[in-house]
Parts: sequence; C-alpha cells; structure tokens
Amino acid sequence: MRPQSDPTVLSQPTPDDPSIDLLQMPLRQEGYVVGMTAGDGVHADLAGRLGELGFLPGEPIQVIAKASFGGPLAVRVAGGTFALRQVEAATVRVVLGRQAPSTAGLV
Amino acid sequence: MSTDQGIPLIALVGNPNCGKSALFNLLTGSRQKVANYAGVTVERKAGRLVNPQGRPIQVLDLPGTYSLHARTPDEQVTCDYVLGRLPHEPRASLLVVVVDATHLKRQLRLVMQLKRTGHRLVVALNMVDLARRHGRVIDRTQLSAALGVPVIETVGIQSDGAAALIRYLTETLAAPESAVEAPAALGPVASVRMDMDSQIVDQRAVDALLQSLGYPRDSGVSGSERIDRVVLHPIVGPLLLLAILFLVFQAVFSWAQPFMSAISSAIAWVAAGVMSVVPPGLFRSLLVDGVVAGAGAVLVFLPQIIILFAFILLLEDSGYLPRAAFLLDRMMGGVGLSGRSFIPLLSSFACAVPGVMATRTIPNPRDRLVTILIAPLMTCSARLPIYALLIGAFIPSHTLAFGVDLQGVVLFLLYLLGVLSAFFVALLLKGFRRQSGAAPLQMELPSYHWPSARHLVRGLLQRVEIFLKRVGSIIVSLMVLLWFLSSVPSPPVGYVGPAIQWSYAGRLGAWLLHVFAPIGFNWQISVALIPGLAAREVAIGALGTVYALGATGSDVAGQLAPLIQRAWTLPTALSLLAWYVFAPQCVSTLAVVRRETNSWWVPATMAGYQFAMAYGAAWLTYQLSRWALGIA
Repeated sequence: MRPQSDPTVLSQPTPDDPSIDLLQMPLRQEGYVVGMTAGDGVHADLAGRLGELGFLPGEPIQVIAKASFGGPLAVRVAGGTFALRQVEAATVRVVLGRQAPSTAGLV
Repeated sequence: MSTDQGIPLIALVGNPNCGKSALFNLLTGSRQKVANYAGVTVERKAGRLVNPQGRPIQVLDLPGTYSLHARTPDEQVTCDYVLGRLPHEPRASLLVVVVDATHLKRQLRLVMQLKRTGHRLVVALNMVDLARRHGRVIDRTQLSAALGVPVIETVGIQSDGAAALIRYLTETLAAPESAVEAPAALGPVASVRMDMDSQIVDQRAVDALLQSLGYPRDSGVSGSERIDRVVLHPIVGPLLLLAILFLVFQAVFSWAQPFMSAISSAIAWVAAGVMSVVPPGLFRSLLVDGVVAGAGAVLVFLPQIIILFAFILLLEDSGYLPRAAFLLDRMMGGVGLSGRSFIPLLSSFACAVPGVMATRTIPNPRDRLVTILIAPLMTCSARLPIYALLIGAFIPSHTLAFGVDLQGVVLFLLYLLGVLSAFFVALLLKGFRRQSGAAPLQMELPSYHWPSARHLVRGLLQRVEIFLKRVGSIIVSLMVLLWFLSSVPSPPVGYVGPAIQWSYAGRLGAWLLHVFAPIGFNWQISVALIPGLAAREVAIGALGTVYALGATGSDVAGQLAPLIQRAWTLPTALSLLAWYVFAPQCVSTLAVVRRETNSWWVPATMAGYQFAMAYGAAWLTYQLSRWALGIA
C-alpha cells in the first residue's frame, strides 16, 4: 500500500494497484474494501475504529449519498450504513466491481 | 443493594441500535432503577424481571458498544464490566448478547470477542420479525451450533417478544450448577485483542459461519436505502429537514390551541369552585392566588409540551435523527462541531438536562464541552410557556400566507435566534481549539422503521409524569413560598398602594429594579425571575401570583394574558422575550453540567456568559423597539 500522508491528495488507480479511495468512489456503484491508508497517530486510531464498524478488507461497499458543500458521505458497508466525514473516507481504499478481489496480499 | 443478594444477575450487551433498550424495557417493565456507575457519569440502567414462577432476576443494561475497544465513556463502562475491571459491580452469571437479526454480520463479531472473555453467553436474536419480512430466515439451531452459544429469538417491540428468553433464563439460572459455575479465572485480558488483524480474523470467521448457514451475502437495495436517496439528497434532504422543523413549530402552536383553552377554562372553573367554598381570607388567597393561579399558569402549556415531545420521539424512533445529523454535519463543522452534536442539541429543545446527558455519545472531549456550553441556548420546553404567553398577549394572530400564522413565525424566529446564538458561541470557542484537523464522525445511520405506538405512548407518559410532578412539587411549593413573601408583612392601616408593594417580595422587586429597569422590566417581572431560577416556567406562575395578589382580587388564574397586555408596553414584552432566548437561570441545568463535567468553572462560565448575553440582548431589544415605536 502506498504511503499517503495527505488525504486530500487524490491518487489515480494504476494497473498495479487498481484501488482508489472512498472519496473518489462514484455514487451508488458497487465495490469492495481493500484496506486502510496506514497513517500515524490519529489516523491509526481512525482505521481501527472504522474496522470495528465493518470497514474491513473484502467487505462490499457503496456510497449512497454525499452531502452538499463538502459534507459527509453515507456509506453502506458490511450490512450497515454509516456517515463518514471526507477525511475519514479518504483513508479507506476500495476497488470497484461486483466480485471481491483477492485480498490475500493486502492483509 | 443488600436486598439483591442471592438474586441471579444477568447483563445485556450489544451494538448500538440493536434494540437492546426495547428488550430491556420488555424484560423489566416499570421495575427499573437508573443511577450512575461508580465514579463516572455513565447511566447505569438496572431492572428486575419477575418470571412466571414469581422468581426475580436482576437485569443490567450495559451501554451499547461495537467492540471491546472503547472510544467513549459509555463504551468504556461496558468493556470494563465485561473484562471484570469494575470492582463495585457484581459479575453477571450470564451475558445476554443482543444481536440485530437484520445486521447479523457486523453484530456477530461482538459475539466472537465476548466469547474470549470467558463469560457464559446467550445470544438474543432480536428483530427476527423484521429479518423474516426481509426474507431472511435464520435457523436458530444451526446458528447456535455454529457459534457454540445458545441462541434465542426475541422481538423487542412485541409485548410477548421476550417470552422464550425469559423461559430460557428461568431454566438456566435455576439449574444448581449455574451458581457454582463461576469461571475459574477470567481469561487474560490481553487475549482480547482488538487490533486490525484480529478484527479481520473475526470477520473471516463470521463470513465463513454465515456462508455455511446459506445466509445471503448481500441483500441488494433495501427500503431504507430507497428512503435515503430522498432524505439524504444534497438538495431535497436539507429542504425536507427545514420543512419538518417548521412543521413541528407550527404544530406546537396551532394544534395545541383548543386543548389549552380547555385546560384554561377548567382552571378558572376550579378557582371559582374554591372561591365559592372557602370563605374570603388568607387561606382562600393562598389556595386561589398561590396554588391554583401558580400551577394553572404552568399547566396550560402541557399540550404544547406533549406535541413537541411527540415529534422528537417520532423522529428519534423512526431513525430520522441521525440523518438530520448527517445533513447538518457540514454546517456544524463550520463552527467546529460535528453532526453528532445535533442529537444532544435537539434534545435540548425539550430540556437541556437530557440534552447535556446525551453529550456522552460525543467521543471528542472538546466537542462535548462546547456542546454542553451551548445546549442551554436551544429553546427548551420550559421556555415555551413564557414565549406562548408573551406572543399570545402581544403578537396579533394574523394569517400571513399559506395558512402560516404570524404568531407561529415569531415563535420560529425566537427558536432560530437561540440556534444562531449557539452557533455564534461555538464559533467563538472554535478559536480555543488546540488540536488540528477535523474530528471523525463515524455515525451509524440505522435502518428506518415505523415508530411503535406503544413506545411513543410510554415516552410521552413519562414526560407528562415528569412535568406534572414538577408542577405538583417544585412549582407549587415555590408558588406557595412566593405567595407568602408577597403577602407578608401586611401593610399598615392607611397604606394606599397595593398590599404587595409593602411585602418582602415587593421590596425585593423594588431593589432588583435597579438592575432590571434599564432593560424595561418592572418590579413584578424582577420578582418573578427569582423563583424562575428553579425552573424557567415557574416565572409564569410567579407572575400569575404576583399579579393576582396585586390586582383587586377579581382576577383569577388563566387571566394573565389580558392583565399583562394592559400593564406592559410592547418594548417590555419584547425585551423579556429576548431575555428568555438566553435566560441563564435554570438550576437543574447548571447542576447537571456540574455533574457531567465534574468541574465548577464550566457551569460558572455558562451562567456568566448567558447572563451577559441575556442582559445585552434584552437591553438592545428594549432600546431599539422604544426607538422604533417613538417612545424614547
């Protein structure tokens, strides 16, 4: 996983790593979680908490709504729906598609 | 606690929004005791269940948590309890893990974690009716075999929904080995690992388990999701929210009217009845001017308070409140708060006390403190009687457009003023924030469901009971005290002015007038503000008493509005309205803030800044309206 200290810098998917972050995910498209952007301090804690809510590799994920003016996202994951702020959403890496990618190398 | 010796204890654990509280209510009915856990301000809800054989079982309702890794004080209590770190709490002989059958996947992970704590478990598979309606039939025996834990189906919102669980508890706890089967030692706490890897391991285990049961992997678009497409829409959503809030405030004013007139006439009838039975004198004055006038003036507002609470309960039950928080998060972020602060703030529209207590769900300590400080600026229902009286007396009922009444608009504006000033204060406090970066939101948006009528009625009855108890105890006793101060000492023979001006209350009012005259208050208002410290709505009853005693005697309860219409100028009325937008005086709020923050400076700061704002706003309103009306 590539290091990404500034979550506002958007990364483009590449053939090596087709993952994008949750912020870039188009509305109501299906995808899968592949991991969290590892960070330090607050972000590590954030990732742990998101994991507890169900943001774990292999989980199907979908953005169902985006609030206006840069507000939060409503995200459906692992059978629950959660509101995440943009900074939080930026830490979640996803891959678009119906089928779960092999997560063996990512864990 | 000594009476609880020998009575078996069970504890309920579960995710937030799993229907645990409804199940707890179902198990214990009205036999509940709410207190705090030792040393922390987390609500400890305990109750007693009496099984069909008449044997009691103690039930402890632990705060909801997603995992055994706590982030909020509430979750900390649950984790500490489960891990045996709360020395004052007796260990439960059985943990009932409440699991929402419609969100099985996420919730089973908590079961996995709890299994490692060494507690004896039973899973209460809750909301099975909903899951069935979604076409999900869960084989209880298979699930139980796969988990290695007994599984019982429950429906928390059905009156007999816990029958199977009660039967299970009765059998299990009656068995002799349950008393002996105290675990030798709690598994080492370190074994309850909470890092990402162990979460993934648990998730894989749950996945495999559900797959072996033939549980569908994803359910497609649910009804909740379809509703969310509208409710969370970036343009439609906020408009809908605004419309809902406006409807609430219109309803509070217009729907309540016929009920209020009915109560008003009932009070006048009671007063007339007392007058006809009791001979004139001090005692009759106490009954009519003190008790009936005082209590009556407050009681009139019961219909409005019921309507407001009904709306709040409906919005809460249906699952709309977290959506409102979602829509408002960006705006709240602008003043340094998060959408999470919305729910405590909305509760504060009913009363700041539960609002301040609801801030416990805010994980960020700074956000929590700011939310506590601004919560009393939300217009609580105790201020409603005052607004209603003044608006009714001074603002003409005049239909503007679309059936919208001017009185309703003024009420809405007063509420709005409270909200805007709260944002203003939060914005000022934003400057003091030390940490950088936005706090996380991570708020669950639970599935929508139809509010249960039983739950709504129960909640409303609780509110009515609290309100009537306040009227019955605090308010009436303060009214009697005020009546006493307003009647004693009697003026000397030959004194020409109203008797009350000679009394203690009259003298106190005259002294307070030095402070309050610049903002247009007369001595009657100044006196009424003092008992209003105990509860804001008492100020109305106090005005009722002061004016009833000051008047010629023919005026009785329920006639306050025409009286003040004659006695006050419009600037005075507007100034009092402005005062009450900020009104610092409410002892219960200050007490709960003291308790929740465990500090004196927070309530002191709160009282200080609110007094300053109230005085400033009232002064400005008074001077500006005098100038506008050409009085000055």
